[in-house]
Amino acid sequence: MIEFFTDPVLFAPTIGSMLMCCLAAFVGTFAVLKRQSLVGETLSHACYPGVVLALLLSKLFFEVAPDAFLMLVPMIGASLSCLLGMYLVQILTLRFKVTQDSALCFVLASFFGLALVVLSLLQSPFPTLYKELQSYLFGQAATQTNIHIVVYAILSLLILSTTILFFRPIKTVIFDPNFAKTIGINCESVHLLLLGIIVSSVVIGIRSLGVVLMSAMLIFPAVSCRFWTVRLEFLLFFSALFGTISGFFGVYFSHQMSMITEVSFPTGPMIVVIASLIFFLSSMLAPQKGILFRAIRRVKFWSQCQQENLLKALWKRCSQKRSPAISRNEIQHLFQAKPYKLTLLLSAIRRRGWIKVTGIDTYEMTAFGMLWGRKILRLHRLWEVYLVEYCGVGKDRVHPSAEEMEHIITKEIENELVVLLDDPHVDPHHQPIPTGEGNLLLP
Amino acid sequence: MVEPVLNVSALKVSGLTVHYHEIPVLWDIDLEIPQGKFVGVLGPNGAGKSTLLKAILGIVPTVSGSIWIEGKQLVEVRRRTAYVPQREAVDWDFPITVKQLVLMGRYPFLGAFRRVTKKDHQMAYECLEKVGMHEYADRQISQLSGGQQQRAFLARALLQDADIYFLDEPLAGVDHATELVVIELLSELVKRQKTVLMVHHDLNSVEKYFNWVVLLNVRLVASGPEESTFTDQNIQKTYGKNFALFDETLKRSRTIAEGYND
Repeated sequence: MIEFFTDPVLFAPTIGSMLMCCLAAFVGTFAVLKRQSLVGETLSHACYPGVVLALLLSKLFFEVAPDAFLMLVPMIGASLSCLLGMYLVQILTLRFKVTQDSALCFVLASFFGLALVVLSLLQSPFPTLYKELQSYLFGQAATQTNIHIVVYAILSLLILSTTILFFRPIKTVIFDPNFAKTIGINCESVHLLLLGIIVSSVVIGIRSLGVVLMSAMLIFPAVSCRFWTVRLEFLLFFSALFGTISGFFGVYFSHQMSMITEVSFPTGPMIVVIASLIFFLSSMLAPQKGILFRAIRRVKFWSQCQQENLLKALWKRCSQKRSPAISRNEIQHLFQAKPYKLTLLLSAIRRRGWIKVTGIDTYEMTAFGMLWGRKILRLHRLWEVYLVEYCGVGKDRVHPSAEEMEHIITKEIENELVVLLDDPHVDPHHQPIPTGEGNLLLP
Repeated sequence: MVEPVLNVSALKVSGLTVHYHEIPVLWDIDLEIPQGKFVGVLGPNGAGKSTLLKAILGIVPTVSGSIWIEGKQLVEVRRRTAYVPQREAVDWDFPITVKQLVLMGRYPFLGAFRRVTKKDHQMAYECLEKVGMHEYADRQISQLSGGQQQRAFLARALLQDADIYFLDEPLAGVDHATELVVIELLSELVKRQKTVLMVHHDLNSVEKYFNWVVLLNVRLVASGPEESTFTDQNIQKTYGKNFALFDETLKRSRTIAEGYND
């Protein structure tokens, strides 16, 4: 793998792709935060006619020119047609009152379609140009040279430093544009700046990623990152990191696959596949928002509810009998559950210190268990009062809802309920509500 | 900070007209509000209450009219104004913490480049304490309830340490406790001779909260001290049907003028 950084042939395409993916992912974060994911898609497709025309013109007029100039030509063409596309979107939305998503789709399809028509016309008169242009569709890293890297690096640095310099206004404008205006930030300029850096990153990126899949690199890393972090700074950093990783492995696998199969593998799709994989893993494994951990927490909460329901039943029974001792048979009778489940639940609440085992199939509620059971019942009945008084729910229907809500036990909520309800002593079914004295905080 | 000059009015608006999509939402508004008033901006839906605040603060372009804040143009006194937008106007999924949100109130003093110092953090924390949200300082804003969001917004405005505060429906959809906190803090500002303009919906609490009212329905119906202005007759004029006809006719004439079929 290390040879991708040392080999003179592989070096430039690898670094070049990593750079452009890093940049696209970084800049794309802003597009995602602005909820304008579709803009990237439109921009990248709107680039293509510019690339086609620019390369055709340079083929016709600048047969011999320095490399650096020749590589800038498609970038200039791409920027111009990008901006023209965005301008058209503006006109369509403002003048013709077309909705923004329709306008974006219209520009995307019409620009791209137009370019493809011109491309087909070029096939027989300029076969080499046709091939080169085709490589822009799905991206080709292989033909990049050291000059490309230098240019990309300079542009990346420029964009990165601009964003860092104007980070505060950018953040404010995206989050709260009205407030931004009142503190004297020029919103139009910030929007133009953002458009500028997104266009630049697209124009740089289509070389490796291709116009068709370019927008994936703007969107995927940022969206993947949102599973991991809630800090803007981290979001930007990790997004850039994920982009860079996708860029490297995209080039790596496309190279390896080409070697093995001896068919040329475009880099763009490979990079996107890697980025999708990162997205998939993020959505699964992220500790807070990932599906896996959420499922675990759901199961835990459900089992906690079961345990607390059992405790509540025990408490009611024991306080009726005025004795903490209770037998397995009695419990089985109180709490309708399959015997094996009951065994599990009993051992779980024993581990919590709510009951203790006093003999074969006999148990005793601990003082801690008594307090906790009382607290749950109290909350249950408080919620019932709340639902009847404040939400106008019928008396017969409050029980199931309260059953769900009583398990969210925080001191805050309890206090708020008590204040709101004026500390009631009976619930809607005329059952007494245990007083709040001797309440325990969460252990 | 410059001490407010007491003999100029906090806000003076004359001949203000605002169009939205070429339909007038505010029509020839003349207003003058003395300093140290707690002003309720009242009117039915679509009366242009929010737009009035936005126009005064230069958020939406005006067709005509002039605005003086403490006798000066807005650009000169921007720092003496603070604005609390409607809660729905921002994206609460945006990845920042409550503290960072409040710190935005210091941006006018810091400009784009100066670093946020320890002192700024301290000030932000104090404002969060005032609204009772200091325990939530490092919480993600997406985790806040409606009332907490509003309190965070208020803390940001307090941090701006302005002379004139503009709040767009700060009590819409908030809990009772938050309503009390908001009103208490704003009343305190008013006691210190600050001016507070607040868009408000609940007519029952007008008497209790405000000492000045602005009744609005595209045109200005009345503006003046609460006791003499918030009368049944004025309320009837503001919320009655007579303005709907005016509005409807204007809308239709605009549609035709734009070349669409009526």
